[in-house]
Amino acid sequence: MTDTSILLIEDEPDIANYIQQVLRAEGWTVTLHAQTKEGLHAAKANPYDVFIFDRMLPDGEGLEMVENLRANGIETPVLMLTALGNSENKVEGYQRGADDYLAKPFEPAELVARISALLRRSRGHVRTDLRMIDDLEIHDKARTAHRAGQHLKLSPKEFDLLIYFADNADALITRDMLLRDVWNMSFDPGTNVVDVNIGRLRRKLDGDHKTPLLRTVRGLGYTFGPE
Amino acid sequence: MTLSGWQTVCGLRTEITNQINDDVASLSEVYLTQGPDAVDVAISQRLALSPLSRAGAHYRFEDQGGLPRSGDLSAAITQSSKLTDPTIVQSTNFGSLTLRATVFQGGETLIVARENSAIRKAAWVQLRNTLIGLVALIALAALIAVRATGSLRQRIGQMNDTLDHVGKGHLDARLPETGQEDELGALASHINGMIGRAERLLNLRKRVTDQVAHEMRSPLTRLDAALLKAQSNTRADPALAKARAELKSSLRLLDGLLDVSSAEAQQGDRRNLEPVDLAELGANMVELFEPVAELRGQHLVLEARAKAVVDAAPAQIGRLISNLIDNALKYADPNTDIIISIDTLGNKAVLSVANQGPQILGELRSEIFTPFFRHPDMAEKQGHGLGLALCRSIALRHDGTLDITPNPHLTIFTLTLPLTEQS
Repeated sequence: MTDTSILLIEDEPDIANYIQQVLRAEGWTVTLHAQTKEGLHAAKANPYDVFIFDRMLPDGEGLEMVENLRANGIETPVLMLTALGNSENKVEGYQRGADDYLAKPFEPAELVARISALLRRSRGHVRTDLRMIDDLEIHDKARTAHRAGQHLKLSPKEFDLLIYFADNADALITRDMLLRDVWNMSFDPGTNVVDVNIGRLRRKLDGDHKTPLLRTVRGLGYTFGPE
Repeated sequence: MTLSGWQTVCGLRTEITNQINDDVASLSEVYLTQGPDAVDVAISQRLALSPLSRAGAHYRFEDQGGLPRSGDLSAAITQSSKLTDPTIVQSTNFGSLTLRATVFQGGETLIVARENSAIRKAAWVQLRNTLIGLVALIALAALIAVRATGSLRQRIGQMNDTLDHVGKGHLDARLPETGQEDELGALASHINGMIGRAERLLNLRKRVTDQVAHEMRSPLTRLDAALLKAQSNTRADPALAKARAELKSSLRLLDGLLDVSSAEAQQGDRRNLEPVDLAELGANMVELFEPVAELRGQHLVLEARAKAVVDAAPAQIGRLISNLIDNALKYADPNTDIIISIDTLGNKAVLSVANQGPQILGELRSEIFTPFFRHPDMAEKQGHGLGLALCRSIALRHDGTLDITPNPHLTIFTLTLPLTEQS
């Protein structure tokens, strides 16, 4: 994705440098501003694929920028990357128009995963009724899945999970993303409940197969697809 | 007859006696100055007036021999009235009369009378006029009162509407201040001042919480980035990974404390609440946690006995219920059921999570909701001891309660929340 351009609004130089390093390592182009006034001007003047906004900026609040841009018809995906990371802050962020919300300090891989997910979502993807991933077949409309010809007995939620993984094949999927997008929860239950659910899906999906499709990325989340 | 009516009659009786006396004096004057014939003329003139104009006056003027000279009273009426004091007699023609006689120096007798019915008529007229006045006064007072009450009701209605709006979390709402310098005007001004202070305090609370988070997380972000860089530059030193894990644990503690203080500070703040169906949320939670229960040989049972919709912040209530279920799973005996029941009681929604396992007894039932409290028998479990403190502060933030319901066999956490007005 060498043509991906990101607008970053971050006022703390050390943190801004760190974020830029992480993003540039992915081959993405980053434009940095430290204040909302310059940031808004840049956001309106140039096309970007993703905005990354801090919240407590010297001349304003990042969420006000989001509201301003949305009011001006600019629907570019916004990731809030901020020190304001408690539940109340996150709920407020989503309510005021942010597409994703990540608290500092963050795992570099998680930041990349979140940006990638936003890019996938904004660029859209064509979903076919029948999908083949290695020896896995997924029928969307019939809501059935087969692995090596064997029918997988999945609960409705497990099928939703499988579809989500298939839609985001080869990408890092974090626990937060699963809670938000599959369970529709904007809070972290603070337990290993996601891991247990994925574990159950993995037993049904991969079982004794030699090539596992669902893999854990230690401390971060999961990836899906043949290695 | 009313007291005022009776007083009127007494007053008129005196008045009529006075009129008779005046009449006698007037005709005596005529007699003395003009002679008896002039008295006849004067009596005829008076009787020519209408009965109402002459106020029921009747006369008899007789000569020395008792023969009538003028007037309209018969001799029979006047026989008993030789006395000069006013006397009441019955007349067949005029009904009850008050009369008085006087004898002139020439031997003529003058009798002047007034119909007593005139007293009643006059009293009735006076009373009627009084009543009409009174009714008019009452009508006027009622009109003024209705207008004043209408205005008062409208202003109180506006105040109620605004306060209801404020109660639902719109702290920017203010009572209309019309500039009227009355008690309601002063009340509106005071209430507006209080709402303004509440709004400023809530905003200040959020600013302080946000500032604390910002001031702590920003340096930790730099520290974490430095640790990560050190990890990538050197051979993986286990101490660095441990330092990052400690840092994340501290952040979870910070977030937990901020969440507790945020929920506590939000008590009474009903902004951003929306209808949440507890049965639906409970079903989602059961679906999420069922695989965890299955691993431990436990089973989650949802018993939704009533539709219970509450005004809530979905993320907070979801977190509360997930904490209760997570706790129940951790502390329940293996191979037992965890029952999540949803019911209503009056205007309250009641959600309880019950499990079999170690009992929480006595004072521990209230202490367990204190931040950092760890049950002595459960100290080996991970966490900072903030989960139940957060749960209770979330319950209180929604005007609800969270307690342990005593039961000899089960540990039961019971959450009550007010049902939505629509429920």
